[in-house]
Amino acid sequence: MARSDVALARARGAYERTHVLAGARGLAIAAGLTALAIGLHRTTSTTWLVASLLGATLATLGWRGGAWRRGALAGVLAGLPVFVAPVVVFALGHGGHCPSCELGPTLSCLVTCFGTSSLAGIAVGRFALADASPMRFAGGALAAAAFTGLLGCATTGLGGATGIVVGLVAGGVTGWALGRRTAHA
Amino acid sequence: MLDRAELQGWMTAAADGDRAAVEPLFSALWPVAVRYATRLVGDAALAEDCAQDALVALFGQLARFDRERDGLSWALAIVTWHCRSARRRVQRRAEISELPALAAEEPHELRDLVRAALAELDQLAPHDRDVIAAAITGDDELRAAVAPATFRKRLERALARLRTSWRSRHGTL
Repeated sequence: MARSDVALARARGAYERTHVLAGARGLAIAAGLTALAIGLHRTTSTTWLVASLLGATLATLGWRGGAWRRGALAGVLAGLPVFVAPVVVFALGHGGHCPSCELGPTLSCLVTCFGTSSLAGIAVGRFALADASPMRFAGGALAAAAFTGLLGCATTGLGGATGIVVGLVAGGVTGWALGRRTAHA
Repeated sequence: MLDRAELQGWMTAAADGDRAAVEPLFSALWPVAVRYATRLVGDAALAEDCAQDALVALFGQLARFDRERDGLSWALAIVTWHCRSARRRVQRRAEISELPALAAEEPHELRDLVRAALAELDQLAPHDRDVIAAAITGDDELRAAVAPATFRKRLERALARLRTSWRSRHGTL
């Protein structure tokens, strides 16, 4: 085996190790958020499903690297307000308890989840434009933000989940359009 | 002839997670790194070691590559760093092999003590060894690279680690 082959194998190993570590970091972040979700929200079977999806998404995007990884991290940050907002709203409006609105979500569920997701979506859309690979960044960020937010809002039922997805997509498109207009102005 | 634009493209792609860019990037960098390292350290075998270590480090940090910067300059800066470290290591090894000879006339116990101290020094992290070596030999290069207070703090920490390591193996004198 030539010296350059040995060096190539070691360099490739170092490269892959960094990516695997980034994937593991993604899993650790997902585990931390899940633990937080268990403490803050009602735990249902949906929580576990969303937590697994979040773990898989963050691990894959972290391992993939580049704009996907940057987007995933930004997405988790953007999803945090969505993740926490229901608790804050319910603490103020329902005496510190999450209402049991799995079958019929209250209006405050929908408005809170939709409102915070829209704002997160706008932020993701705008930040994505500043990245070297905006589409990948936006894809990674929206997926990570959606699952992070769902970890909080999905516990409030289908209404909360719908609010998140619609809010993120609508906010993302708006943020993207606003960012482009500002760039062209 | 090395195409810098192509190299920059491969480096950017590999930094973005494109596995297909790893091999062409390595193939482009390897000969340049070996030639450059040979010029810096002189010895061909040591130069290959340095080039290998440098490229392993580079590929390990590729995710942090800033595409606005020139990829080749970044790579050569890493090679330079590894060549400097290798030169220091070689220098230190030469100093260590000379020391027992100098102490040949010293009493037996003192020679053993010097050997044990050098072995202990060898167990320390490279940055700790560098600071202690700079303090003993009066190496101005490292002193000039950091603020005097920083150097003092680093030396203090390195000596504390050396003391702890010595105590754990040999107890107190």
